[in-house]
Amino acid sequence: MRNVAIILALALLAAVATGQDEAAKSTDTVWENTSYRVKATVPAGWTQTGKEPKSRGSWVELAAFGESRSEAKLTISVQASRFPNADSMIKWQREQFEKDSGLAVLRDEVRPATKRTPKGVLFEYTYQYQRKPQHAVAAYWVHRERRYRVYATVREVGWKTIASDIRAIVKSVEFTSRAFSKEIHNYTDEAKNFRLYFPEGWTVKLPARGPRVQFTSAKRGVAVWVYTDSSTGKLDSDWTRHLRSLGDADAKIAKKTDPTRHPALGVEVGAVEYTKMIDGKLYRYRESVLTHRNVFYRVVLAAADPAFVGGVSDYEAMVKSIAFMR
Amino acid sequence: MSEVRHAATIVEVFPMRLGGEVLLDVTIRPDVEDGFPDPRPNDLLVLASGEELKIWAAPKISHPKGSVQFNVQFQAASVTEVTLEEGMAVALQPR
Repeated sequence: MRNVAIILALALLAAVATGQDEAAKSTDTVWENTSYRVKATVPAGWTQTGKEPKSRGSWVELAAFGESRSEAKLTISVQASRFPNADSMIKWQREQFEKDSGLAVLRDEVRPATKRTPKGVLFEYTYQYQRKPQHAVAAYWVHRERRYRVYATVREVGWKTIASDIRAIVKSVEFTSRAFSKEIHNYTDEAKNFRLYFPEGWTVKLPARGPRVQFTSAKRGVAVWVYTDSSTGKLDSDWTRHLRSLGDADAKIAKKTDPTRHPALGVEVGAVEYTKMIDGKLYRYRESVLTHRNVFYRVVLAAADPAFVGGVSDYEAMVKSIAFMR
Repeated sequence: MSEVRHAATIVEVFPMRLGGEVLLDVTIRPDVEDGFPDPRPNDLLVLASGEELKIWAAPKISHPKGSVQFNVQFQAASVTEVTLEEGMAVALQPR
């Protein structure tokens, strides 16, 4: 029965289509700074005027763009951040805009976290420059101890013609670092007191029976399951009992690492790799097992050979990210 | 303050007006490259009208397409009242 469930789960993997981001129009230009791993899509009509990062006061301007008809200018900048989180940055930024009497804020909008950006804030406002009204947009995000800003300004007379472009550029900003994925793809199980990160491209399912949670990567054709069971309270005992159960289930153990202390978790973690033949097909498994507060956890990577190898790196990152709330 | 003035032309003016931040970023191109000094904080940018603007920061020298350009920045809000436009003749007066 369990084998059938595994086969069904793996068959499901092949059928699941990967989610794709909205495709940029062919006339758009995708700009990316690979050092900071920040990216934006710039519509046709805009040209990049500044390609080399340059200092702008306390900011480093990563890129500058201009639109010739409206004479709009837009920059993407970064600076070291002293803000511990988005909320503190948004609060401080609001205070700055509120107390600046030289500006008339038209819109103050918290931008919720998305798959690609942390929570941020956007201000749309007008001001006088050389006695002429200007329109501006400034959007801010805090990400990995840095503050990012998209700033655009245009004469008020040109605003209407370019507003949708500016909004689209702000909306297109995304952070592509793996660390960002860690922040947004966290799976938390309050009842079983654990959480872990799962990478981009993996989907989560809560099966009715069997594992506590199932992560699948359709692209790689692999699955990761987290099982929880009652514990004896000592990993040594749980570990021995588990190895015995694997033998009973006809698993062919290829490699095992007896429990050693996990530096981040502060608990002992054991690992075992094994194979099983299911309906004439070879499946490979890797498990990390640990005991915490009388719960026995098993994080299992499973795939038909040879797809297994393609899932190892993501699996290791997931195991490394496991944390307990209590 | 030196009395020597070095002629230049404004290439770009970029007002950076944000909550709590007022910065005017001006790119100038020397009319004659030889002998044109690197702008420094507290140097003056002198306009054709005679107005003198004190440079707050001169952060970067750029060399687009082989020519030399300088970015100079002004921080005071009052600078935003002065007309600075692309193509305007100015002069850099070192302190």
